[in-house]
Amino acid sequence: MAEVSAQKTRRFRRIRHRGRGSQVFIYLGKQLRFFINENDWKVLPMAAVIAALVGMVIRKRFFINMEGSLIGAFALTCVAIWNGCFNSIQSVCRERPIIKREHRSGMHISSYVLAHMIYQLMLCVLQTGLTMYVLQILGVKFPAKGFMTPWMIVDVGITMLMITYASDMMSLFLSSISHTTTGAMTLMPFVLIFQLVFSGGVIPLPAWSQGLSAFTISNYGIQAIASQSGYNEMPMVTAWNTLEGMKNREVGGTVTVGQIMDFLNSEGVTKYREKEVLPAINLNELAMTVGKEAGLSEEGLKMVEEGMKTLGTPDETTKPLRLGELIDILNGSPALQARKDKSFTVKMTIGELLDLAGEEKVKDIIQRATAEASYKEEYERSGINIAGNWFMLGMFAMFFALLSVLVLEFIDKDKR
Amino acid sequence: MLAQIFLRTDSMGYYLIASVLLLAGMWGVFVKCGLKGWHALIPCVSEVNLGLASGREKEGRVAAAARAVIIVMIVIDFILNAGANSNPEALDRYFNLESVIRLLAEMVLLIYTIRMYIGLTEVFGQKRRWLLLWIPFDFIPACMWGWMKKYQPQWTAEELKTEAANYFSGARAEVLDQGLTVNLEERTATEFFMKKYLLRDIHMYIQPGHMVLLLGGSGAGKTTYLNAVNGYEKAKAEVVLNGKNMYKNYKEMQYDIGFVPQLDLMRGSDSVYRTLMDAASLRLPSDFTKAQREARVEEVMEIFGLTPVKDNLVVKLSGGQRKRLSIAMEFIPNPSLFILDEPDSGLDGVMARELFQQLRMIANQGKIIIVITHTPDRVIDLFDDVIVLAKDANRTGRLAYFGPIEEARTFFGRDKMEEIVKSINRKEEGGDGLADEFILKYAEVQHG
Repeated sequence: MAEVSAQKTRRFRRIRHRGRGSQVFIYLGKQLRFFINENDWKVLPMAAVIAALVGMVIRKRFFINMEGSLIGAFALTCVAIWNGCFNSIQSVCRERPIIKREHRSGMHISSYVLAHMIYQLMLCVLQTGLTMYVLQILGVKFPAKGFMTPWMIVDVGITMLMITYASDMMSLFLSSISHTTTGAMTLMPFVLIFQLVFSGGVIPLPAWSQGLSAFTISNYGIQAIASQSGYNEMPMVTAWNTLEGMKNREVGGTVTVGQIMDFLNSEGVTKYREKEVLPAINLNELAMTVGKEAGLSEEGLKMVEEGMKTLGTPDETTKPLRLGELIDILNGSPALQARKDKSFTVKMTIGELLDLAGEEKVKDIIQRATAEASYKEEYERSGINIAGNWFMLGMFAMFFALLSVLVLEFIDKDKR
Repeated sequence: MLAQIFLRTDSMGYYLIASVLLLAGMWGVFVKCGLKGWHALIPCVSEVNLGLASGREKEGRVAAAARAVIIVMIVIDFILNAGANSNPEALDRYFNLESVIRLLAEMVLLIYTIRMYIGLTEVFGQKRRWLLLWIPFDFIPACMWGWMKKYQPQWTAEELKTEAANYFSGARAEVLDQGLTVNLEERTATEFFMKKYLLRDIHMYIQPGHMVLLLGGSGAGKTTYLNAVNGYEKAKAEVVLNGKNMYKNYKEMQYDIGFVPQLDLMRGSDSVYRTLMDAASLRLPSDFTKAQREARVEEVMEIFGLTPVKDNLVVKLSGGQRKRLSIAMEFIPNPSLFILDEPDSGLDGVMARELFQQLRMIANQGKIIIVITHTPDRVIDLFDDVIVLAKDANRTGRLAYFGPIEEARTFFGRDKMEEIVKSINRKEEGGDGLADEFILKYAEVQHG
């Protein structure tokens, strides 16, 4: 009886094979050997070269002004996406028939993909480290203090790692749905273009397509880097730089007195009739101030005071002169009316105009006003913003990894 | 459309005349190919029929779908243009999108139509250079091939309805505790919404210790059959190995089947030893210790002569060594059923014989070995049985023979296996076109 029971146990004892966990190590080993023997290591110097090219362009402007930071954020996101995509775009499709064979022999797809995830994470960490190092030696000035960590370079590094890894997983998915390397490489440009065009950062999007940004890794990458760089706290320099570049340009032309009078009486000017053009002044005080500004000695100032008394200037403050009053005076002037057709030429450079108005004051106004107009809530430097973007990038990575497992589970259905 | 590009004309008159001539020509082509001529007049149906006539059914269905998309677009265009224009911006956006979709559909239609024209040149036994005329001015060759007696198809769709193609043995092989029993009713695939029979009516019992040769012309379904037998691509079938139903116990039994694919699917960056160790980790039961796994790998390397190259990278191995490594990987779990898809491809006669002798040795241990090879005669003395698969008139893989080698020679009236393959191959493939005859003969034998 005992023998029969033992036989039964033997017959129905299920032979166990390697589980998912231990298969991960088998495939991780294969990936590492691939790295050494099959030139996968080349993605590392490639990442350094790309970082150098981009770093040379952005080093003078990143963390300095709004435009520089936004373009820097876009460029760094592009670098990370590029690195991530190229890491794994061929990794599955190049060995698809082998995967199919091994799946038939008991390989678990989840183990295979998890091994890829671990290996690609290691690659991404190395690439990001290299990229940040290259940026630093090229002279990109990262602020010393970070927002999420004590160092800004680490903050930005984490974001770069998240973008690279999310793109890597997206690329792993593309590689999983492609049957050949040619197919994968044909698909990749479309995805890259979509990521860059619909990032919503640098290229303005029409209203109907703005929602698409939510489905791009680049959108969250740019938002995270722009937030970390303190985009909203920086000046915007484009408008001022443009004006400054035009300093030598002459403006002006020939006008008649009548044209000036018509302009002053036009509706556009009339609404400013109540504006003060000349403040309330005391002539004696004015004379003394001018004298002091002119650097007159005590004796000189006394002579001015006496002179004013001699002229009998009343020691009282005048009423302020308003634009409307000035226009009325000019309209009532017979001399001006008689010279209505007289023309004269005005010529001035923009630089002279800026001098007249006060260059620093104008610069400040323009930079402040354009910066205010370019404020973006999503680039606000806050922990929630940055952590939110990191979370989304992590979700992208997990989502694409999961999709890769799902599509590879159907590898047996491949047409021969 | 292409003619318009070539002639740089927008003339409606030219378009109308060309279209009418094309329809007339296709009518004739369809009739010659055993189809209904008036089908040429119905859009979409015409494409499907062109696919049938040219032996490119899938292309015909894809082209029909592309045509349908274009027609739908035209209809929507017409409706939108006739209706009230309440939202011009949205309409403009739609027309932009529609232009892109229509362009894609036109491109698909063009490419698949060209593919069907290529098929048509094969069916009519004409030279490929005819395409130079077919592509830009299809109405001219359509009229010529459709209405001139000189141009006749080599086979017609009507021929597909033969007696053999529709005769099934209804036999069933017996199921025993030992050996392999295959009772395959059908293996189908759906291709672009159409069910296609890949294999039908295959029944056999293979004894343990037998080495079986699998013969058949290209496209006869040999690999499909093997995949159905090992349970990887399930068919409507009952496959029983040593008393266990393979389909019902696939997870458990997949380690008891070794399948060596035609190509050497291994990673070049691994060494021979590493490849086998990883294979052992995957295929051997988890209660095997590392030492046991290593011992098994050493043993298999010795059997297949791989010990001297154990540290070499796979990419550095010769063709023969790679083939042996590929077989060794599958042999590690010591499977009861060993299937090999062209293991001798790329090997010279001496190496191939050595390989088959090793397989014979394995079979002698009580294993079942099924092998596909295209050069069977140099090693035929090592085999016990032969399976002959052939395409019937419906292009479905059918069993034309299963049994001992000597009886196969008598059954087909041929001495050599390669002559048997030639006899069942279609005429246009350079064969004798006797597939249906032998399928019917064997089905009747099975039927008793």
